[in-house]
Amino acid sequence: MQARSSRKLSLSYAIIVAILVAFAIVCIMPFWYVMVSSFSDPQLIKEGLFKLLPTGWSLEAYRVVFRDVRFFNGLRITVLRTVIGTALALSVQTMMAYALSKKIPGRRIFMKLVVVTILFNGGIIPTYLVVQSLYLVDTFFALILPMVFNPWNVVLLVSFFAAQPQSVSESAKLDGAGEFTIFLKLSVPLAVPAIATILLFIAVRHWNELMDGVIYINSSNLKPMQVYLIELVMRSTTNTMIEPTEQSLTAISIQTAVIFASCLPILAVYPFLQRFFVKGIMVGAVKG
Amino acid sequence: MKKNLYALVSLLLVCAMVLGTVTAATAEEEDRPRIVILTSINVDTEGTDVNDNDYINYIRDTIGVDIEFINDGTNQYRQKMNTMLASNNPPDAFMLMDVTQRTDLARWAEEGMLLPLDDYLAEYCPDLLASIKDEAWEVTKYDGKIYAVPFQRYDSTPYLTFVRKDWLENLGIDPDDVKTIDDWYNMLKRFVTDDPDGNGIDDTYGIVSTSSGTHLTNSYFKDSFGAARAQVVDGELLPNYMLDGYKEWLKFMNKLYEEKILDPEYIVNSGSQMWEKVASGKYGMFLWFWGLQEYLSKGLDREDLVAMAPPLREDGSEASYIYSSPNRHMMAITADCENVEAVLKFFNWSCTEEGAIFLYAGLEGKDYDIVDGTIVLREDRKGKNLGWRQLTLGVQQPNVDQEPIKSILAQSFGELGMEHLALATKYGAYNDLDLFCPIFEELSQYDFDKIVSEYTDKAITGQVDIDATWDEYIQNLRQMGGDLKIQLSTDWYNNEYNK
Amino acid sequence: MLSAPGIPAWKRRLRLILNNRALYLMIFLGFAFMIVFRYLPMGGLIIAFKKYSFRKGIFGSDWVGLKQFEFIFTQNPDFYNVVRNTLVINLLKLLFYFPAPIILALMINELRSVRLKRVIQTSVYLPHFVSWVVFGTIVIQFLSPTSGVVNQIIKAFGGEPIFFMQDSKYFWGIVVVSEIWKSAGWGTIMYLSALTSIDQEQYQAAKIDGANGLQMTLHISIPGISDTIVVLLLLQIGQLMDVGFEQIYVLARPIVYDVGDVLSTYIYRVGVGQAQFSMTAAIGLFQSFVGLTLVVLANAACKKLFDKNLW
Repeated sequence: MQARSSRKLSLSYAIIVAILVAFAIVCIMPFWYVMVSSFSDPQLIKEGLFKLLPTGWSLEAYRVVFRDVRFFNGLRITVLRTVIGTALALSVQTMMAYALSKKIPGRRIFMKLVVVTILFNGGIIPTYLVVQSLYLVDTFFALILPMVFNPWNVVLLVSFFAAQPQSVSESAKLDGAGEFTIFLKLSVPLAVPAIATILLFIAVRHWNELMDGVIYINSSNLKPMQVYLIELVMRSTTNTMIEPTEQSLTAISIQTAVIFASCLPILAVYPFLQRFFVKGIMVGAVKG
Repeated sequence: MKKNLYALVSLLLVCAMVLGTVTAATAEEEDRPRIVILTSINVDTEGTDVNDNDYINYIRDTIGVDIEFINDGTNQYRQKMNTMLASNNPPDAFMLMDVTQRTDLARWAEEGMLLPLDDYLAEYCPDLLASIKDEAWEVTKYDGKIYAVPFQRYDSTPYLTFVRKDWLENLGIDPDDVKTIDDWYNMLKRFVTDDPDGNGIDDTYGIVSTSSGTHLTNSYFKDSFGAARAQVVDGELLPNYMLDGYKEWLKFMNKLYEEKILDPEYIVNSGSQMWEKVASGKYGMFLWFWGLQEYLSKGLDREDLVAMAPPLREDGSEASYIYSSPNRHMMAITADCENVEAVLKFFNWSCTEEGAIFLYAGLEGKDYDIVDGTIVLREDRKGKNLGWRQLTLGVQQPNVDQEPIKSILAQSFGELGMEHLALATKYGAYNDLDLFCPIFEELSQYDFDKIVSEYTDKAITGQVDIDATWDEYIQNLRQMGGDLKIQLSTDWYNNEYNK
Repeated sequence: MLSAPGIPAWKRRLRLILNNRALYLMIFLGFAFMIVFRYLPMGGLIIAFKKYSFRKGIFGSDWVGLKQFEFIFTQNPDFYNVVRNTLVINLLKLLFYFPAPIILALMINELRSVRLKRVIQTSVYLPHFVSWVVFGTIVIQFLSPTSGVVNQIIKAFGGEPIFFMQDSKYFWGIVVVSEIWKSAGWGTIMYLSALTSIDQEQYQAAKIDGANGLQMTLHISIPGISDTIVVLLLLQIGQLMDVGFEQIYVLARPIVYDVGDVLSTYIYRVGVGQAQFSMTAAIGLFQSFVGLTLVVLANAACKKLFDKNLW
């Protein structure tokens, strides 16, 4: 970011900052509410009411979340699936998008086929039957493979790659570089903001995904963290069993502790990713 | 750089492959029949796995069957159930739950996915048959055959109306004098107008409630208006929500709402918010499970409440709280099951004395000790894990009025709690015609609940004029599948029920 | 070069394909996953034309032709209400929610302080991580007639508290505004990313020419991210028949079903709740075909007007 020499504080700039700061505060509020509620005394908090500080400090909700070895099991599975799943999905999607951004025969048909998968969905049961026929049910890879291809990401990446100037790759070709080399050494570095964005999308999706853990996994030690967390929440919300003296944590305590616990790792990792969103470096001369 | 990338990717893939072969290792004994049950055990299991803990291990050893659970405690159980049954590898047995359990059962039975149990029960489930009542079995029938084993609640009619004792005392009202609908109205009105908490501010309400679940707001007073049970009117068997009594009940509830006797926020109240309000001391009465778990966990005392009978009907007869089923859930056996005897043996065991003691008291040495021949629950285990054992077993011995179960429960709930249990049982009854009436598959495309709930809430909150819109509401219902439902039910009533 | 005259078209094409075989290989892997995990399951959509039986499975179930569609369209008047709600909500979202992340991204891009930029960015992403289940309770509490902030303000001005969540006329507004609150921030990621790809030299050149901030935004920034905008807009139009389930499920009570019940909640109640899989598939097909038609039309329009399209 270049420093601007004139530091005039125009009215329009002040308004922009004011609006953004106001919006940012409004956006922090729900999250702050989640944080504060999760640390509050479960008996004292009022659901939905925003408070600046916890009502009566208590770590009870977190104790419940973390004491179970299944939480850490789930965490392990989720971390693994996110790392491996993101690496695999990103590679496949980026390569595919790069190739689709080139003007080759059949490109338009491929794009149409991709877009169609955004609009049409076979449904949970047919997808399950496919996964089952591949012997993936109740295996770790059921959490990875179905998510390798994602049409939204591919379409977005295609538009990014298509916007890249052709001149760089053309001169590289004249130098005898292969397509894959051009992709890896030229296109990808140029598209770093877009790729980093898609990486974030895929990773967050993997991290938060619940349904595949429910539908494809039967064994408890393969269940991702989100499944465990939602089970925890369900225990405190629907209760048609009568437990005479069991201390039930109020729903809101558990829900907020669960949210906080599950998104903290993402928010911790995110700042490291943020620097990739800075503009990509233009390699070599582009003009003329 | 490329080489490093490839190395990294390969390493990851190898790790992943190793992981991929890791699956659950269940302790398997040789020569024991193995059954797989899909269930929803959504209670605290003290950090242990549902397939590996003291309780399930004890059951396995005692019965000699290898039971394995596929457990889904999420809110997606229905999806899980549908998917497993659509696959080529369904479980041996599974749980049918919530309000849709009857339609699910009808669906699966119709398609031949479930095993009819009639021929097996006499031989393998004598204790089940002896303990579970007829109404409970009715709910598990389709086309005249039994397709599931019901989990009959021991508190098969569990709700009670609780009123604040201190408010009654402050206002000089004797609960025994509150009998008719008018009496109730006057009492509730005084809760609002006469400052029962004595703080000088006009901030009290009569009833606190949520609107979710068919038993909550909707159960107050319904039967007292004749609006809770299906009835035959002019030769047609009408569901309760189409009766004139329902209209009268709506008008009454609307009156309560307009006069701020009924919490104006009842529509958006969540479960937690309802309890916050109860704890705030600004609400005079609520309807809830006799067990009062949430209430007690807020540190409040059962002694502060009075449990009251529902108001008498206009003709002076006693009314009840009406339920559509005595069962919390049902356990069905799939048609492809290879170890039917083992499954039924497992279910039946819960109704033997050994099984009942296990359910209500737990394990000797862990939850209780035997002192002078009687079961004494350990202090720190009182009332713990009852739900866990219930869900693990899938079915239970529902008759708790006999020893030794009665005194075991009394240790967990206390004397007053047991009194409340007795009252809830006394004041409850079933929507008989609805319960015995079979599920008609043709009706499953229609969504009656939506129309009824929407109209009910709009009527109570005064958004529609009940007198002006009632006929339109009925007509709408009839058009959207209502006529078909009435015709099918009436035919059944005339031809089969009256035999 | 290939444009030499005398070479037949098909030969030219074949040459192109062979020359670019590396690219086709790069497509192949993704393509394989797409076929297996997206197109194969689509075979299951035929149950919209069958009476689905678990016993007989997808391929064994009996054909009923268009009977399922007939039921939905003719015997179920409620369906049109549900479709209307879905369309209205999505159109309102298109009108009000869609521009929000764009405007936000443009504003954030103007910030000079890198630190402020980062703080704002991270803040606006946060609501995305709060699930609708919890976010919904926040919204409901916010609008509570007794203790909610909005009504406190109304009361302070001497008005009567409004029961927002019970009144049909507010529902659509609540849905759109709460969506902006929750998701607009996360939506800026894509646009900010696109903005960083714009050549900075363009801005410098414009400044030298004396352009002010607004002009630079209109003539450089927006055109610079127009590809992204068009893609996202077209895809959004394709989803016009589909409103997300969670938000509606949490915010809508039966009392506002006349405006709040959408296709996804309808399917959840009847399709899943009452095991009507054929109906679910039929409605899904309906949604998809409407979406496809809209995308094709919008895409053609975009091509004519802006010379940009999806394929």
